[in-house]
Amino acid sequence: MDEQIPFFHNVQLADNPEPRCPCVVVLDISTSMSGDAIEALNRGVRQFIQELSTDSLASRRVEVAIVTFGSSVQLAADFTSPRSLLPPHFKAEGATPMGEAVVRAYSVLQSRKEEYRRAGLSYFRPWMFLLTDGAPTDAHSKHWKDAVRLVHEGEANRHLLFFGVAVNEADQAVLNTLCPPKRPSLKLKGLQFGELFSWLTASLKSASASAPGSAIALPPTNGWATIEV
Amino acid sequence: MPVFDETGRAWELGPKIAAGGEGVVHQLLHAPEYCAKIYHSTPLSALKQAKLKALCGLPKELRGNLALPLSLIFSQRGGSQALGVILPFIQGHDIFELYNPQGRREHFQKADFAFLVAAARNLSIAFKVLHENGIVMGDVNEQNIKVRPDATLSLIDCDSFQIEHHGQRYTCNVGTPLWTPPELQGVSLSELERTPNHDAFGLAQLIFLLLFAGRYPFAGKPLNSEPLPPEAAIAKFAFAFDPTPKERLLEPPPAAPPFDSLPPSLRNLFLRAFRRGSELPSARPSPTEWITELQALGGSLTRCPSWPAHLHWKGSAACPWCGILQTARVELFPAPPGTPSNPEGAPASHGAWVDRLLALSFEPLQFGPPSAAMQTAAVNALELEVTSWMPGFLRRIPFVQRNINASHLNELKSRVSQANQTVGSFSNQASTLFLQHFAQAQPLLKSAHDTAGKLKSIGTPSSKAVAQVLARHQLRELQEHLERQLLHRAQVAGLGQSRRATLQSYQIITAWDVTEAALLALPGFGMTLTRKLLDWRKLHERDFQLSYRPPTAIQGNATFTAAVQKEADELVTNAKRLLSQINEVKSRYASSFATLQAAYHDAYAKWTALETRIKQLSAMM
Repeated sequence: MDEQIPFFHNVQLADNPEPRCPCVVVLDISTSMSGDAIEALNRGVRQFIQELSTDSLASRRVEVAIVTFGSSVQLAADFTSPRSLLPPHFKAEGATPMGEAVVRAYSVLQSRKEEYRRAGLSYFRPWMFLLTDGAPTDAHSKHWKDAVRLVHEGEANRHLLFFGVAVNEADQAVLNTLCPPKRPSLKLKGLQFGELFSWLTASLKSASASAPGSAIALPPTNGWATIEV
Repeated sequence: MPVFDETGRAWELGPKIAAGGEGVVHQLLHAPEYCAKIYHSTPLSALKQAKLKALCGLPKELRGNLALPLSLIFSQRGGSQALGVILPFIQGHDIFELYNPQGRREHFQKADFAFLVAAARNLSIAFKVLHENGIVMGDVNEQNIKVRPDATLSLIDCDSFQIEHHGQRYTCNVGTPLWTPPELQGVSLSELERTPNHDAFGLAQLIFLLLFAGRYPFAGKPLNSEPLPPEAAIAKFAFAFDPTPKERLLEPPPAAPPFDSLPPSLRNLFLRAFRRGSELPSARPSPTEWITELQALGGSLTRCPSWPAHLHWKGSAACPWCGILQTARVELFPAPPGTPSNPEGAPASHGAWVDRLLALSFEPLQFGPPSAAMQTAAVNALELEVTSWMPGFLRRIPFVQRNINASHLNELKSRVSQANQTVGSFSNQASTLFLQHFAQAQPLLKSAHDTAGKLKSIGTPSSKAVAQVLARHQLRELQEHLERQLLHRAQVAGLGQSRRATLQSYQIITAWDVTEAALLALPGFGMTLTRKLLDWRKLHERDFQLSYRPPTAIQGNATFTAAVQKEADELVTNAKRLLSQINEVKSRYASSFATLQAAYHDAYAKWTALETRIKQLSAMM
């Protein structure tokens, strides 16, 4: 009863004072992803976590959370260091509540930022990385409007870096209404999730080590994205 | 592929050991003390090549502190356009692995605070040498200083340093925002002249990180809701630890060592390095000033009485590391493995044990990356697979080669999914291993928490010793009270003169003597009378209970002191036992984990080799 409550619920914050680069990955695991796509995605995510863990500086700075949308919106993994993240195995089922997922991801991001602030840690601009092969089934809901507003405001205030990636038959026109106008969605070549996640790892490494120059130099996307038509 | 140095000597490039924005670093076969950096954009510009040549010609005495290139290298003997340079191969770990508490536990297990002070001093010496030779590092950052296990270090990535040679200045055109001094934030670094005062910012920041448990000087709790990213905080001179800032934007972060845990003279150097005004020419402390103060600090360290592995400045009001242990439950300087955690004779306060017990935890270990050598070996093994059985002259025919490659590519693709699953299966094995050991650790951890709770309540009414002393006191007071109640004055029905005489002759004189056993032994006392007498005693007991006040001060009481000491000794013995039992479980877990990790590394290297090889072969198709 009289037991004191430790300030740090998450020891990682006190034990590792490096500035953080939070990245929330928002994944479409609706029914349409079943088969090869979901398997390729599972492999890609596992490779992503492993590649990040093998970089000694990035693994101390980048923190990853995973939000999935399908049958429901789930926080599949809350923010943690890639070294302590065991990626879950995703099964494809359900609809595409993309708006709700983005709102959820945004709130997970906000609470992590609040934790950084309380722990006195500085952080780099947070990343939100969304992958979908469909169109939002909640496009006429309040969620979708909120999602669009949060992404656009976050981008305008430089509080967020949003990337939308279209897989297979995704409705890129709708996705582009969510994406910031200056960074429209990219289309994945086939199921090259491996290349995509390697790109994300390299980009996060460069963002978290703040590569020379003031703007983050992102590696070219031509390894995985098709050329814009 | 052979490359040639300036004297015409041939070198054989070995496996890749690092890749950066500018180039790739290879091992050199049969020359483990050297490596080669090959640049992406060759041929190099005339300016770049001249700079590299100038770096090779710098005085040899600098090589103790700087990883200077030894020679340009060319694709052919006597070439004129360089591909890269030969560099000394520097052992050690990046400096952030030393100041970051997690990294230190992984790579510098024996590093205590004295080691950090020594590394900070060696770093200052390296900068002194650099500046005395007219060199400015420019791009000071956490990844271009390598620290060796003896706290000596080398500055690497010298090709970006600003040097002057034969009247020509070669500038440093790069920098990273987290390490850029306020006056250069947002400024284009290209062709800009860097000064030793710019370096002095990075040097001060590195020394701060080393001495303040990996805390960044410009990271703290923001006082308004707007976040202050690191570069913005630097640009505003928002040094979070400044005790009297002109405008406070950041508060010191919680669970950081207090600023005054270092001597005033050192604090003053930090203020000069980070406050507004530091941007003026030569305003920041020079390396020599740091050397003097760090030397003095090294000579005025003391061991914390409650935990000998804690070294700190002897003028500090309290041990900063115990403070962090208490607030954040993080042990920044665990006793290195193999040394007794608390050598006999070292006094330890109860409080220290409480913190130590509460800080105990049992966390899952995480797989680290396999070594570069292992990965290279796996790739080499795959390359051999396809070529070993066929005579070389056949393999060199392009058509044959393409066919071999195509079929090999298909085979590799069929294996990659299995290889990936194998790697994935290690997650489950690791969880199982953790849970097995956690099951053993959990009761010990619970017991440790209970013991901590008891140690914490020592001397308070809820502690065992105090309860005993109080119970004894109450019993004694009760006895005294009952002894004052004389039987011959008692008004008990049926107790006549003769019975009173019997009681007296059997020495039953006061209520204290009235017990069931004593009365039943008397001749002629029936159950009714016995019960009445016992009720009479109970009446007085009740009177006592109603009026009894436990003593308010028992601290001075000798019995109390002895009881407390005894209880404390028991609890501390218990704490030591628990600590060593938990450490035993931990080391068993660590050794099983190491075995599993070796297998994981093997699987991981095989899988990544497959992916690498598939990419290579696909590119050749």
